[in-house]
Formats: sequence, structure tokens, C-alpha cells
Amino acid sequence: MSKKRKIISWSVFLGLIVVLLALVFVVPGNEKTESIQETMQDAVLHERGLISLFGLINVNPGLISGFIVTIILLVFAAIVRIFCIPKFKYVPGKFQLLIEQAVGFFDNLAVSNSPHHNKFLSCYVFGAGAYIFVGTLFELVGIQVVAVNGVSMALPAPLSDINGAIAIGCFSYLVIMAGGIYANKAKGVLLTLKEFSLPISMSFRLFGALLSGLLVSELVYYYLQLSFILPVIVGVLFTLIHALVQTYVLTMLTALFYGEVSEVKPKKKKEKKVKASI
Amino acid sequence: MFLANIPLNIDWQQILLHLLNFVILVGGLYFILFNPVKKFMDKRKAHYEEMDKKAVDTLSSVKDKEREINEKLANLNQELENKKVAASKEIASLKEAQLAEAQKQAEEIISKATIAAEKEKEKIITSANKEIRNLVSEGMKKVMSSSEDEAIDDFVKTFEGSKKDGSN
Repeated sequence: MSKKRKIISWSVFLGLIVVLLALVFVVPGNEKTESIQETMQDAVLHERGLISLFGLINVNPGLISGFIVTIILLVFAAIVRIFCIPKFKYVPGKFQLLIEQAVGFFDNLAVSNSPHHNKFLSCYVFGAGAYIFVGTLFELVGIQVVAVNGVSMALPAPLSDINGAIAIGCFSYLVIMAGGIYANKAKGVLLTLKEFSLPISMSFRLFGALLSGLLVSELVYYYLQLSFILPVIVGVLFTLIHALVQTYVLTMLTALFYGEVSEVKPKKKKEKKVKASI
Repeated sequence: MFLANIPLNIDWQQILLHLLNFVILVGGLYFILFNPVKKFMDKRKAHYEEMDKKAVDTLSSVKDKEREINEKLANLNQELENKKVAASKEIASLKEAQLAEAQKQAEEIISKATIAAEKEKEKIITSANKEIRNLVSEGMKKVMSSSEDEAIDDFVKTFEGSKKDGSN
């Protein structure tokens, strides 16, 4: 390609981009149906963008996301179970290594934080970790659904719904309490109740972290001027970081508190008080 | 009433639905994925532990055998040394016995030779005496048969001739 032809090609390409950009701002679009405040409020509360669950009840879109994530994970697990696990070898391949790393990571997390009782904990943190990680990445897919009010919307992460975050936070707390009761009977309940703020902190940490990502995305997409390049950073990178961090934080906290309350402490022998004779 | 008026759109029904969904997911993942993979990993771990144990056992048995062989080798060397000492002792005793035998034989030969020499000496002396007696008797006969002077001269001549022969 000659130098002259190269210059012409580049000029046409850049000119096209400039013209299209100019047209985007010149041509009037539909007027926004809701203000930024309303958009943000709806992203947090989901008071208007409800979705019908099989025509029975209207639910938040996060619940639908939760169901879809569960189906995806269970189908994936079934495929792995049927087609891959029977072919597992002692010297693993790449995919086998990935699966074993995931299982081994959560198993080690449970064993290192709760050395005494960890069988149920490892299974729980594996499930919770998979749900949070895949659920957070799920918002990147942006599956479109139609709300009951007729508005089209992309499905958010399941845990950006406060009900989902409360469910996971409280269930984790119950799991910790169950571990305490199993290991220390009634004393385990007391040990767990000592951390009474745990379910709230766990729930709202998850909710806040995931909602913040959602809100930033909503904010960016609300304004046309911010819709170039920036979504790649705030949408993809933040979501990836969220997925990793939140998975690690919740599973780590659950394992840590589970290990603390399920630790069997030796009973202290009561020392006989000897009355000192004066 | 208390459950119905919660802010932030918190809905107990939806919380329970989320919970149900999550419990199904955790249970499903445990039975379908986590447990089989964990079992496989445990099986592999046990396999390698078994291999490791076998290797350690084999190593220890090899070391035992090596020790046993070294002990046997040491015993054999000791035995060889003992046999060498015994053989050298035996050789020495045999040598002594042979020497004694040779000594005895030599003494016997010497004594036999001495006896033979004695006998030869006696024999010579006897024969010399006999010869002297014969010469004397012959001389006497000659004396008796011829004159007295001639007889004496002959006797002297004969005696001197025999003396010369005896000294030669």
C-alpha cells in the first residue's frame, strides 16, 4: 500500500467517526422518561422494575438472576459430573486442574480456618463462592427481560438485590450458628450470638459492594457522553474485581467465624479457693 | 404488621425464595460437583501416599539388606582371616614336624654311619692284627727254617717293608 493511499484510508476512517459522533449529538433522541435520581432509586429499591415470576407474583429482577445463575451452575456441574469427572486422571489436564483448584481452594479455606469441623463448611463455602462469583459476573451478560410495567431491562447481579444479600448473609450466620451448636452445644449458640451484628454486616457488605458497582454502571450509562470507553473499565474491570473480592470476603468471614465458634475449648477446672488464714 | 412495613423494599417472601434457590444450589453443587471431585482428589492423595509409603518401605528394606550383606561380608572377612591364621599355624607345625623328622633321620643316618665306621674300624684292626699275626707266624717259621741271622735280616726286611706299605 502506497503512502498516499494509506493517508486517504485513514482520513476516510477518521472522517466517518467524526461525522457519526456529530450526528449522535445533533439528532434529537427520545426524551428521558426518568431522571437520574429516579433511575438510581429504582436500581436500589426495584420498586417499579418488577418482573412476573410465572405469573404468580411480581419479584425483583435479582431473584430471576439468582434462578438463572443457579440453573447455569447446576447444568455446568451436571455436564462436568457426567462427561469430565469419569475421565479425570492422576496427572490433571488444564480443565481438570481448574476444577480441582476451585474445589481445593474452598476446601483449604475451610480446613485452615476451622481445623476441627470443616466437612459441611467446605461444601457451604464452595456453593456460596460459586454463587457470588458467577452471580456477580452474570451482570456482564446483560440478559434482557421485560418488566411488568413494559420497560425492557438488563438482569442485574442476584446479590445487588437487597433480599438476595440478606438471604446469603443470614444463611451464612445460621451456618455459623449450626457449626457452633454441633461442636459446643448450647455454648455454641452463645458464642454465635456474641457476634450479633454479623448477619447485618455480612448482608449489607455484599449488598453495598455489588450495588455500588451497579450504581456506577447506571450512572455511566445514563449520560451519553460517558458511554464511550469508560464502561469497559467501570463495567468489566470493576465487576471482575467485585466478583473476586466479594467471593473471597464472604467465604473467608464465614469460615473464620465458623472456625471460631466450632472450636472445642477444654473445660477449665475450678480452682478450690483456699482461705488464707490470717 | 411489623413484617409488612419494612423499608428498602425488603420482602420476606423474596428473601425466602432467594434462600430456597441458594440452598438448592449449595446442595446440588455438593452432590454433583464438590463431593465427586473431592473424593477423586482424596483417592489420588491416598494413592500417592501409598506410593510414598511403599518407596520408604522399599528403601528401608534395601538398607536392611545392605546392612545384612555388609555384616556377612565382615563375617566372611573375619572367617578368612581366621582360616589364614589357622593355615599358617598348620603350615608352621608341619614344617616343624618335617624338620624334626629330617633331624631324626639325619641322626639315624649319622648313628648308622658311626656304627658302620666303628665296625669297619674293628674289621680293619682285626684284619691288621690277623695280618700281623700271620706275618709274625710266617717270620717265625722262616726263622725256624733258615739260619738265625738270615732269618733275623729277613724278618727285619719283611717288617720294614710291611711298615712302609702300612704308612702308604
